[in-house]
Amino acid sequence: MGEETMKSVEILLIEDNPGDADLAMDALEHGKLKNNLHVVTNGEAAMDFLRRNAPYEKVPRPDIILLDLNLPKKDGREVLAEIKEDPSLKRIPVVVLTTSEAEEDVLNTYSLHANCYLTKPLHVQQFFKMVQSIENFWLSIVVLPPKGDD
Amino acid sequence: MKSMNKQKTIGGVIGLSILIGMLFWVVDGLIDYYKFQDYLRFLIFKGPESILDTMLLNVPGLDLFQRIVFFVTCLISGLLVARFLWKHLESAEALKANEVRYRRLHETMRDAFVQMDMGGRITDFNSAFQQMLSYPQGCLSEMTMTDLTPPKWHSHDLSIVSDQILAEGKSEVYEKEFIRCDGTVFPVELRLFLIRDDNGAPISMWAIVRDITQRKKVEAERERALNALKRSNEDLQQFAYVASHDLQEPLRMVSSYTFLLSERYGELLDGKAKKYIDYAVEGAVRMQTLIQDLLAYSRVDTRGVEFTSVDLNKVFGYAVENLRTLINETQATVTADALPYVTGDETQLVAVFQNLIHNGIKFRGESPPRIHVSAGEENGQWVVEVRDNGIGIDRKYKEKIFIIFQRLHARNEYSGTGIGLALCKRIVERHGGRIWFDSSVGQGTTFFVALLPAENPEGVKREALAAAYSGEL
Repeated sequence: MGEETMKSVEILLIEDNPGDADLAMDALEHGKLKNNLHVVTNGEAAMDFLRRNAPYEKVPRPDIILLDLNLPKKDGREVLAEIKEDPSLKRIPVVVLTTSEAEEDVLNTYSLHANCYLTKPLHVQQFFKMVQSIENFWLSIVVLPPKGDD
Repeated sequence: MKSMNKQKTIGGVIGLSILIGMLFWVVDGLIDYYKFQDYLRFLIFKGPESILDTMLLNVPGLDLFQRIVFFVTCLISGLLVARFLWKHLESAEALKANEVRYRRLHETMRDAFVQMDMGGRITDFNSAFQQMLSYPQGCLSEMTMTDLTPPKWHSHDLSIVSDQILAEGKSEVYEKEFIRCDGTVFPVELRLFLIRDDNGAPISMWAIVRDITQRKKVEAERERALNALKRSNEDLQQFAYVASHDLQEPLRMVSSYTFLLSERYGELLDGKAKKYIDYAVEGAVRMQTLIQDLLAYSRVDTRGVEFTSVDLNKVFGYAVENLRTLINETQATVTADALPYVTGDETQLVAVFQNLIHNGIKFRGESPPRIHVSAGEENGQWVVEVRDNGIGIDRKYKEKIFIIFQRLHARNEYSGTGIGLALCKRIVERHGGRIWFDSSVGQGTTFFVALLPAENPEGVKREALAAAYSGEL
């Protein structure tokens, strides 16, 4: 157990709003676990990052992905579909963190095999609590899939 | 008429008897040819009264018995022929009377009538039909029903004939179109009947036709209006959702970062700066609540469910549960009498009860709030009363308080966006009901909500047509 707790968790945040990205970063910095937060701001960059295309040749494989649905260039829903169809990527937990509370979005997202769906709360304190809950649950309680063949 | 007939008949009987008698006489006379010549001479010189004599007494070879038989036979034959004629005359009279009546009906009736043979060729029609089709006199007699019908209806017509008319002797009322003389096409509604001959074979059909252009227009109008209403409602819902969604994004940024500013950099800020930030945060948070409220308001119709039978006691229970914390904090007493079943949407009715009870608690006076809910029947509706012992409302505001976002107090006096009662009013009106209040300042307030009773306790579903037709959008 010792070595694993010293190792940083690699988090990929796919979010186009810099304000929201900063909030998430702020929340994670104040969290308990050591983590490296990588941020990309559109869907195409997200896929490049995950597939280690240029300029992302040397990035680590994320342990968890936080995904916003409304993204420019390639929409978050497409990104989700691609991740879950790709055998080398589909085991990575995808936590959808978005502003939309539309029922169609929730249904669609789970149909595309997202691991869970979260709606960003209005008040910043609740948002912090939510990010910390994500951290607690997904990165502390949950056993993540081993980083096997990638 | 009848007595004239009788006279005719009696005359006929006698005349015929005589005729037949004379026939016998002639025939007999012919056998004795030469005797005929004598009789003729006798007739000419002796006159008609002797014919009877001659016939009865001088016919050669006949004795008295034969003469009587002969006479009776003539009488009976005469009677039979007369009866036959009489019946024939009678039915001819009746037929003529019927014909006159029929013709009169035919010509004066406003519905168009047309008769055709089994090939669809027009054999008869009334003036209403002619006017409807606006063909000049004489034209229609040469046409077939097919000539008058646009091609797209031809196969439908044929199937009506085979499936309904030939099978059952008549058709159901059905709609199609006709072409007028000037080429204009118009919608009609018609029904056909089959006429069979004595052997049961179909010989002709007739139809009553109605021009339904007007009705179709009205129906189309109504359809358009309903669709426009539906579209408008959907647009409103869509707009409300998108607006709220897109407005929330920048609002979250404003409220989040002003909050973080005061939180993380509080020590660097003086009292005034902190106050400025507080105003900004408060403004942003308030706007977020306003948007949420507006969304809830817009969803009353589009997210409302079909009506069922709702137990208001349960509704009361849910509302009180939701307000449990507030009730405990303010030491409020909230009670209710036995409440009836109404027709409605349970969730929305809970919102109404909750709002009204909440207001009763919020706008309290010096003493702990006491709220009581009861219901009474009035003109076939249930009127629910929510009475409180609060600060009361000046009657001059009886319209204003139901207007969205209208408040009667400053923000620091009482919280709230001013949507509660507007929301109640919208929900109640969707239910086909009414909401009003009675109050005076310092004397507490009673809110009244009129609702439709449930159709039966088992629950009957009802569309909220009431809302659509009351002009609510």
